[in-house]
Amino acid sequence: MSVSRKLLLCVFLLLAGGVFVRAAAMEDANASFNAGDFSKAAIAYESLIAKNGATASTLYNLGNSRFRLKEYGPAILAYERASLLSPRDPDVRANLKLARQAAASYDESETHPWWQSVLLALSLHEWSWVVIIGAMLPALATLAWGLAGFSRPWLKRSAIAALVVGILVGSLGSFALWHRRDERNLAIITAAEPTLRLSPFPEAASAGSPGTGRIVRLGDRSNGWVHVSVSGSTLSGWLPEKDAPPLMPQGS
Amino acid sequence: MLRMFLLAGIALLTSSLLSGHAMAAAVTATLEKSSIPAGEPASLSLEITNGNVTGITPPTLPDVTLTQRGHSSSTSFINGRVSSTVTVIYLVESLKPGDYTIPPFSVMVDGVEMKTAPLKLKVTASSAQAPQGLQQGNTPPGANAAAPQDTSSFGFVTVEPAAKDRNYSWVGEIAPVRIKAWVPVDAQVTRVAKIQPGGSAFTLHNLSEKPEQKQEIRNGRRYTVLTYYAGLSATKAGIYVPDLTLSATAVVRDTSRRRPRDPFDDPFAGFFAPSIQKDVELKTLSGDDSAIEVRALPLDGRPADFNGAVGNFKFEHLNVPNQWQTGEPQSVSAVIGGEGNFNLLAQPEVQPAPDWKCYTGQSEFTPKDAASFSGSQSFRFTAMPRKGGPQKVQLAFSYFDPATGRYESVMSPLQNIEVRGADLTEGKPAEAAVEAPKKAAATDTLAPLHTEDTAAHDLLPLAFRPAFKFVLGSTGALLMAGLLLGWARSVRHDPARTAREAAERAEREAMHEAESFAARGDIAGFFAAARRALQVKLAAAWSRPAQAITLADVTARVPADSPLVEFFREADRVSYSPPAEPQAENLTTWRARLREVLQTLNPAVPG
Repeated sequence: MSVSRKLLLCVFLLLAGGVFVRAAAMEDANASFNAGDFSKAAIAYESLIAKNGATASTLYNLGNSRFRLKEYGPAILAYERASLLSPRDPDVRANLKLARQAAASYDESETHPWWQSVLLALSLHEWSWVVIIGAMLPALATLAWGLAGFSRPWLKRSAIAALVVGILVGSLGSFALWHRRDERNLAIITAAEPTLRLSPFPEAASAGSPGTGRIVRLGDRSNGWVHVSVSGSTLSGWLPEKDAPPLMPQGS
Repeated sequence: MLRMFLLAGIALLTSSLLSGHAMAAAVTATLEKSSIPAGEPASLSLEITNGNVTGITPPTLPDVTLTQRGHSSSTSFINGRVSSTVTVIYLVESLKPGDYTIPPFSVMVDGVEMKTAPLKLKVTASSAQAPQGLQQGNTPPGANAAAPQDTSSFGFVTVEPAAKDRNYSWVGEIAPVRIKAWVPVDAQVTRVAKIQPGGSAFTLHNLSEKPEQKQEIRNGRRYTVLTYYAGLSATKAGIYVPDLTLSATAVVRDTSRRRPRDPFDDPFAGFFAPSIQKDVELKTLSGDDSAIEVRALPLDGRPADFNGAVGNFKFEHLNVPNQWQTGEPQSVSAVIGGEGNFNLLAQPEVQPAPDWKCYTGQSEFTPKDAASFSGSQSFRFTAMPRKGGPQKVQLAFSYFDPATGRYESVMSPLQNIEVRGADLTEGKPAEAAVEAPKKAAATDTLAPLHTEDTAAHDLLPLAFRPAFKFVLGSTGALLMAGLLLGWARSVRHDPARTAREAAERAEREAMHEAESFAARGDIAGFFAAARRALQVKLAAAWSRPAQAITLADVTARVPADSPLVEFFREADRVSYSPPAEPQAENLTTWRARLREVLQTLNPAVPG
């Protein structure tokens, strides 16, 4: 067996071993859940995410564990994160709805006109790919013209079609990303009894109690506190940062 | 010498910076005024310098209220010293005249508890215009709602629910309210900001932008009343006071700058005191009568399709096609009108639900009042029948009626439709996937665990990662490369350029040939080659084939005495009667003339 074949075999075995270990860990966590040990299951799912990265299934199962522990804020956070990776998963949407009902934190996002519904039809990740495809089509068409020219009419027609479609699709995707750029600043309140403060101190006067599981928009930060605005209302104030974890990773 | 100065300067700067870092933390509290009238606030500033604040414990004092107003922080670098200051502003207020000593503030700075010095505050009797019942203890019990205490001479805020038949609310219910800001006509309030909810479990919805303004008399005093419309909703069960604050700017007489004198010394009661602008807050009053009980929505009888809508709703319009085909989706529309939180109204479902598959569609709300409390919501979605044959269908949705305290399921009238085609078989993967949440909702239990793990992904969408910019930059580079290549190719294959280069090449060859004939003294050969060179040159200029350019053409376009015509004429003559012997010496003149003619033809040839 040549060295390259041995190397390939090693890589394959490592990958297969990783997949097997992950699947076994997932099975263990699921077994804990099915046995009614939701705390152990939640810890196992979180450990899986920390070790191997977030997957839609792990986040969804973590949400189920938190739901069973009646920790509705963390459950909503896990479901919302799962829906980032798998935006049209019916199980995620159904359980998210149940968690919101249980937390009395109904989705108070305003009803959208048809054009906003179009922009919300895909996830931000999917819109990113739409923009890339929209940019690649004109670029490849131009490159083909530059390299070979259009010796035949159908080639020219195809290139013009790719150019037009690329520009339209890319523009739509870019507008969607621009319109939804603030979603990076969204967070979920996970504290059971959150109280917004007028200033970033524990003793500051209360500005309101938005309830667990509410979607908030993150603002300024100060000494471990973050200023949040509650989505769908005029309520805003300061919360400890740990009580409002962001939906998406921050800082990069 | 210069080096010594530099070293000394660096040493001085370093010691300054070190000393700046080593500055000790300090906490001070200062009062804006040491004497205030009852009912008027004074500003108290708590300054913490050079330290990381982890907690502040304000003092408590009977009859004196201390309300945090805001905070600011600053960092300065003066003479090499770094200084950071955090300032927390409080409003101190009392309704009872007397001499007070405000106890020290306790501030945790870098883990060490520090205390401020006590402050002296004198509260004098309020002005004569203070309304009755201003002071604590004068108000009859239970009279708060009817005659609120005006704790500020600049006014107060009242909240009036539109529905007065019950004194409780439900979680999620948006109760339409009138919010009135009462400003005494003699208080010069110049600007009002938006109303903000304070420390309560209530949230404001759809607050009207521009208030209605009119004057009203309340408890014998005339007020300018700004009326806003909004929806007030509670997010959790309990008993709360709707606490609202309206920030405003008022023009007041700054009597603090005058010497305290006997009132009889100032017959104009401070009329000539200078005016200053002051930020004031109009607040709602806390009291048992203004508290609202918020009840949790009951779990008993909660329909599976309930999504949090609280109010009173009904179908206003329906459009369900009469002809269907199993497995083929069609559009269904419905308009639901009424009052309540429309944003939580779920899309109606086609019944009987097992025979239909409904997709999430679009909805649009049309308000009918300023607070968007009443209105109608139109739904347009796609439905697909699973079962063939004649059917009776209806649309259904549910809501919670706050008046009766019960869930209501609303059904539209039955409609006869015809569905062509055979029944769809169950068990298709896509169908099963869509069924899962409905089953879960129907039994109010979670959808089951996912056993199959998927590939790990970054939660951060691609658009927010640096790689996205790199990919877009690469496509831009590809685009530019394509454009450059295309330009280079078009330049390379330009017909005019090709023709010009061919003409130059032919001219060079003809000239070379002519020179060769001239060297040998071959007159006929020389003139034939020279004419060919001229024809190539003229062909490029006149856009004609070189062979087609004859003496006649040249004569028609160029003056007859031109050297060009003379050259063509001589070439014709030599070709018809060539000389018997080589005459190299005669060709010297013609060679020079040929170069001259070609030179003149270089820029352009008339014609």
